[in-house]
Amino acid sequence: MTEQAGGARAEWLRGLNPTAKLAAVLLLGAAAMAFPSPVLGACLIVVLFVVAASSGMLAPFAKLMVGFGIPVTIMLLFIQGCYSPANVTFIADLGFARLGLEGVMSALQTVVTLLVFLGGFYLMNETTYTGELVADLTSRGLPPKAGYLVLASLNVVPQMRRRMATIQEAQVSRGLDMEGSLVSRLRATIPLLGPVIMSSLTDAEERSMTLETHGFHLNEVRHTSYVVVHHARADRPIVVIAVALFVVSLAIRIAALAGLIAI
Amino acid sequence: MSEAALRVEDFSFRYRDTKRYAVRHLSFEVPQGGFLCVVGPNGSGKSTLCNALVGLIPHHFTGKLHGTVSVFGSDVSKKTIADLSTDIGFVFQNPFNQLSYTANTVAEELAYGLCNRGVPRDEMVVRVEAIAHTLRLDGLLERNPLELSGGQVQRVALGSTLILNPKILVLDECTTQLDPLGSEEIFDIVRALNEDGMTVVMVDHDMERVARCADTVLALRDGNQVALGTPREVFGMAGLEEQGVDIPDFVRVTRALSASGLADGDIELTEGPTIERVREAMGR
Amino acid sequence: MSEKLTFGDKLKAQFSTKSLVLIPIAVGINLIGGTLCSMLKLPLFLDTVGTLVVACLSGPWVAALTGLLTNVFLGIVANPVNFPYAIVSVLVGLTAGYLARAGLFNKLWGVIVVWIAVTLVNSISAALITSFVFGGATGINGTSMITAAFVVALQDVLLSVFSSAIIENLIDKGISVLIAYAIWRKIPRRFISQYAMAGRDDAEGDVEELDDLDDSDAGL
Repeated sequence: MTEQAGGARAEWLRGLNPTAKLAAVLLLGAAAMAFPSPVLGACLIVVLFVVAASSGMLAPFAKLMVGFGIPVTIMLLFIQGCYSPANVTFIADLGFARLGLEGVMSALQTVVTLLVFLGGFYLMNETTYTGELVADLTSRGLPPKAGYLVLASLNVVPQMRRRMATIQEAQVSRGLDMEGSLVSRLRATIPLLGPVIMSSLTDAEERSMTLETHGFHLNEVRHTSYVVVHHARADRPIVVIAVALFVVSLAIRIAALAGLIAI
Repeated sequence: MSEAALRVEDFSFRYRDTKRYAVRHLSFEVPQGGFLCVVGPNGSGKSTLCNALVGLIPHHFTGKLHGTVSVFGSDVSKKTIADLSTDIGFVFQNPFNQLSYTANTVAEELAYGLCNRGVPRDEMVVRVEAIAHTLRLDGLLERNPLELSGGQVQRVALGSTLILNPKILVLDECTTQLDPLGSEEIFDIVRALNEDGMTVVMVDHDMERVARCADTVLALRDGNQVALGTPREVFGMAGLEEQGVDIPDFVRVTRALSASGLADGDIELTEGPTIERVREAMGR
Repeated sequence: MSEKLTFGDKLKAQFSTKSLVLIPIAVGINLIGGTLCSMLKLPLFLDTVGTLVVACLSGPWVAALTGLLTNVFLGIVANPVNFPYAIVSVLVGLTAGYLARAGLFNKLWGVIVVWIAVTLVNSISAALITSFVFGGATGINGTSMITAAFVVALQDVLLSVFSSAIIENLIDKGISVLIAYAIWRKIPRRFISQYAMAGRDDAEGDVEELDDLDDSDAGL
């Protein structure tokens, strides 16, 4: 979503087709979820680390993955490992509760799936211009209105944030307490929301006028885009591998459920 | 060339959910290449008139409508807003509400109307560059429009309208929120466009500018048409100020001079002749 | 009520350009509330205010889409944990939208009903997702600590997740509904009438159409 780069080495990720990247992230996440063991997800996390390193983004990537991964693992291991109703095989006794293998495995499965999605989206966001993704999806048949919703949401937020910062500065200069106790912080915050929301709502009327005069709802012809969409030779192999991985994972899961193979 | 660019015939409109008519019995014509300025106090129906000229009334704002507005001979209410936008462009007050919010660069923003019409990219690039040049935006094409100044954004808004090659331009107080420098830049551009044959309808509060630019002035009050004519005719009318319609300071000065017997004859609308009159009066 | 309109027609009426433009703004309002809370370290989300306002203005399906987009946005930009909770946001939007259409946002007791309904819908659906999709928690935060405490006491994951969700939601949705209500009361009537929900009571809409009597003296 952002333009700032992880240096020149991120170029190869940047040059990939945005829809291919999105499809790959979704498919790999789904594969990690479908595969009946955390092993695949763990492997994919390693692959994502390699990709991040090859693109010069290892440090922020690792920080994100560890920062989210560790606490969620602890929490889920505790809740699922000790209290999952699926627990039958106990591997440790913690005194107040016993740690069950089934719960531990399902906790790990959840964690690796989340991390595959988190890491995948991070790498995609850092190397993809959303305008390009929407342009590409629109040329593949996404309704322009859906594209509008995505892009406008993305652009409205920073603008509203700026507007709120301005009001906040004014509040602080008027002596409103933004640091103190919970109640005083609440009292300072809630009135802040009102003006920001009201002014944003009244903007909606003029903005819809703008869209109409610019032909937003014209749909006789497929909309084109000013943004150049990247395509790379690696697009197809990446998507094919991701599809294959997902299909195989799903097949293994179904086979396992049907009792054809043991895991 | 005999056909009027804009023709308004006995037009009245009341917005849905309101009790009063916003405009009543407006009738006037703007010839091709003409420059009409609409003046009047706040709430006199100037914006309603603009909305009607570009088709937002009745297609966007619903309500009770009488009479007709036609653009190059065809009734606005029978065309779509999008169709009209290739005949008549519209720029209004708040620059930031005239952005599409789908663009990350000025170039994309300028191209927005073309994207919606399926224009191929090669053609878009040519047209974007041409329009950027007209609007003095050449150096800003790769910038994020949300990070520009109000004046710059307003030029982007004007550009994204002009890129559809309209022959009429409607400007509804489009410089009210801008600093003086930003306003002047916009007016220079509009004046140049008018000299090249663009028909202009402009709502403005700066009466000196109105007197300078307009070939016709329409004065509104409470939705009624109180005066229509050349700037000299309209601002020369007695009792216009009492109606709440502002007049240029030069008119006030020269009128006061005549009233106190210090000058002869007619009012003056612009700076040069007014100074001439004052000099004459001082010589007496 | 307008019985001749099919569900599809009604849906189309809800998604006018005006409503469509409102959606990103409402998503923005949702996200601003959330940002503000984390910035000031408030133990709240306040990320449904935009959805609730849109529910009043444009109806249940536009509100549902607002909720969906908010979570998709959070999922892509912040953390994919937010994706599954999109269902929660959609349900909250639908609930608030249908209750607003029933006119509950116009009376104080109605607002309390909205508050309770939204809290319940949110807590139940969120608890189901937290339990069955994530297995009980999505990180270490105030909510998950309460959940953990409940698990130790109750020995039941789903019940514990639900209990912590309802505590949190009662406060969070209470404030959100109040803010949305205050805004709804403040929005000018002329602005409201531009949106699909203007005919909240369809009868009111009919009266407006007939209210043309001042036509004759208007020209004077």
